[in-house]
Amino acid sequence: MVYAKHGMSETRVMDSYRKNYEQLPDMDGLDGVRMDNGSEVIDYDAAVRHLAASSAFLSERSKRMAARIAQGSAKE
Amino acid sequence: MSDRLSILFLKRRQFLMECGRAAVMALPDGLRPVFLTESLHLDQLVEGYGALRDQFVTRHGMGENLLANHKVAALYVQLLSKVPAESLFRFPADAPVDSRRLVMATMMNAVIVALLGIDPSRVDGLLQDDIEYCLLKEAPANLEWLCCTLHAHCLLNGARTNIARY
Repeated sequence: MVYAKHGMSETRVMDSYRKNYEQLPDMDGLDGVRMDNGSEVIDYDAAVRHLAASSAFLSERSKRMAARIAQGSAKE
Repeated sequence: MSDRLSILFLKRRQFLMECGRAAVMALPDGLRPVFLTESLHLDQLVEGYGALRDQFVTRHGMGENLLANHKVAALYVQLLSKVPAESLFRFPADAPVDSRRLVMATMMNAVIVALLGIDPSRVDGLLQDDIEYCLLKEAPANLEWLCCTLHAHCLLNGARTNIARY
């Protein structure tokens, strides 16, 4: 333990932390921020349907990537 | 495997299969490999996804064990970036080396387009170019980078995110 070497116990560190703890002044403004990040279940069937509808886009992007490879721009 | 797990396994496997097939169809005529639907590497990939997902959920303490769609896409892309193309596709003997990278990048693109519901009519070309550059060149292994990029991609060009009450 690093604290022990300096003669300071972990409990004392926590105490001084609690004593000095102040709420951030702008806490009120953070009401809308959530950290739980809860999501809905992934709908794989819908994803596959969307994939089928996007085939033109995928081949257009594939052609573009092929052109990029050919140019050597992806190899710099 | 319990019933629920095996259904999930099959759903995920089926999804990756569709992405692989879509990638083959998206390639120019002369460059199309065959997607190996029976490949054991595909099973390994799905198992690897389950394991990585568990790790990710534990580390980030996700409530209810659900992940946002951009994170799911990020996990798949990260795993795909480590799979040699020959494990999932059979190439003609004279196939150029570049076509192996091209089909893998296109498959990763398919995963992203499908899971984020990317709308081709309003795609930001620069962001799409940047993502493809990394899919082609950099073996996108950094999960934080992938999550951040795909979230931006989802918000800018995709369908509504599946994060509840976003």
